[in-house]
Amino acid sequence: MIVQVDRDECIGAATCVNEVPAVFELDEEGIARVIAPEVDEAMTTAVEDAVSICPVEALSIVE
Amino acid sequence: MYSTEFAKDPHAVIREVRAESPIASSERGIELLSYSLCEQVLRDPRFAVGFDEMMEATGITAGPAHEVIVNSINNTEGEHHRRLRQAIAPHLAPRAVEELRARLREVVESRLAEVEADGECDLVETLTQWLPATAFCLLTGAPLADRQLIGELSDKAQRFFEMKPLNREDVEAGLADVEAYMDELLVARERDPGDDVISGLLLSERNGELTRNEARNLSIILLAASTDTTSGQITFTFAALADDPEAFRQLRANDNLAKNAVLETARYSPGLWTAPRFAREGGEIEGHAIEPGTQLNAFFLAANRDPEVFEEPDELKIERKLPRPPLNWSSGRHFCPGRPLAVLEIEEAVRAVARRWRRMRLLGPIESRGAPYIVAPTKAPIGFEPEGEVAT
Repeated sequence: MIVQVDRDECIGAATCVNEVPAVFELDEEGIARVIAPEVDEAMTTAVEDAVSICPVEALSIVE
Repeated sequence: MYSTEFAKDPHAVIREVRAESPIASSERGIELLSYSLCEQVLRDPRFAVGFDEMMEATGITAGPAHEVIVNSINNTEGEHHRRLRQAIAPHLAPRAVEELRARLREVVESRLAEVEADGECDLVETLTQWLPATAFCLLTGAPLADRQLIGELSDKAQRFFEMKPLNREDVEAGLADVEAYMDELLVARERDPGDDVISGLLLSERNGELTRNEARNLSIILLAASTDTTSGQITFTFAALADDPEAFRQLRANDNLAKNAVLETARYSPGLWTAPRFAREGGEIEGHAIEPGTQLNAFFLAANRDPEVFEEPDELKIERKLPRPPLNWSSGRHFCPGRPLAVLEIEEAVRAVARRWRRMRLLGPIESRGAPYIVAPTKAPIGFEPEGEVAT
C-alpha cells in the first residue's frame, strides 16, 4: 500500500499524525508528510482510517 | 477597522493598507493581511488561541462558563488537545457526515417549499436558522423538535468572541443553558445509545480514551460552535450568488460545481472575518517585534483575497481550482473539524435553490451583528425568480 498527501489541499490539522504517528508527520511548513511511502502491512487499517478522517480529504491510497 | 469607510467597503480599505504592508496596527492590536502571514500565525504554537483572554475581556475570569470555554478543544494544546481532536475527528469526517446528506436535502426542500408564491422571504427565518440546527440534531440524536432552541443556545454562548463586557450575562446564561441541555442529552444517550456522535463520545469515555468531563466538553462545544457560523456562511454564500447571476447560471448548468462554489463563495465572502491569537510571551513576525500580550488578528477577509495566492481575487469564479483552501475554518492544529459538515449543509442549500429557481436577488441590505469577528446575519430579504419569468 502506498499513501500520498495532496500538499495543495492539506491544512496541517495533523489529524493523520495523531492517528498514525508512525506513518505521518508534519514537515517544516506544517504540511503532512508520509514518513515512508510504502506502508507496512500491519499499519494498513490504521492508515485507511487516517485517510478517511482527514477533514479536507488530502490523503489518498494510490495502490 | 471600525470606521465608516471600512464599513462601506472593507476590501477597498484592505487593498490600500496591504499595498503598504501585510502587517498593520489597529485599535485592537496587529492585523495580518496576507494569506501566508495568517497561516503562519494560526499555526505558530507561540501564539495562543486565547479564549482565556477573550473571556476576561468579556468580564468572565472564573465559574462554570469559564471552565468550559478554557478547557475546550479550541483552546487547549498539547496532549489534552490531541486527545480531544482524535475523539471527535472520525465523527465529523467527510465520510461520516455524508450519511446525513439525504436527510439534510429533505429539510432544505421542505423549508424552501414554504417560500410564498411571490418567491420572497427572509433567508434567516426560512432557512439559515433551521439547517445547521437540524444538522446538529441529526448528528447528535437530539430531538428535531428542539431545532429552534438549539439555534438560540448557540447564538448567546459564543458572544465572548466579541470581547465586550456588555455580553457577559448573555455568555454566562447562554453557556449555562447549553450545559443544562447537553447534560440531559448525555443522560438520554447513555441510557439509549445510538450511532450518533454523543453516543460515540461516551463510548470513547468507556474505552478510557476520554474522561467524562472531556466527553461533556466536546458535546457542549459541538452545540455552541456548530450552528451560528454555518448559518452566517449560508447567507453570505447566497448573497454572493445573488449578486452574480452568471455564477448562479453556471451552477444551474453543472450541479457538480456545488462544493467548489461553496468554498469559493466562502473565500470571496466569509462569514467569519477574523480570528485572534495572543502573543503571551511576545515574539517576532517578519522582523516586526511583538510586545507580550499583543492581540494578533488573522484577517480572513483580507487573506482570502490575497493576490499572491488567488488570481483575480476580487472575482467570484465558482469553477476555479482553489490553490489553497479559504481560511474561514482556520489552519493548522486548530483547523475546524466541522468543516465537512458545514460545507455539506451549504452545498445542499445552494443545490436546492439552483434546482428550483432561475436566479435569486437580495431585496434589501443584510442586517447582522458580531463584526468584525463572527458576523451573524439577523435578516436577509431575498427573492427567487421562477423559470420562465423575465428579469426586470
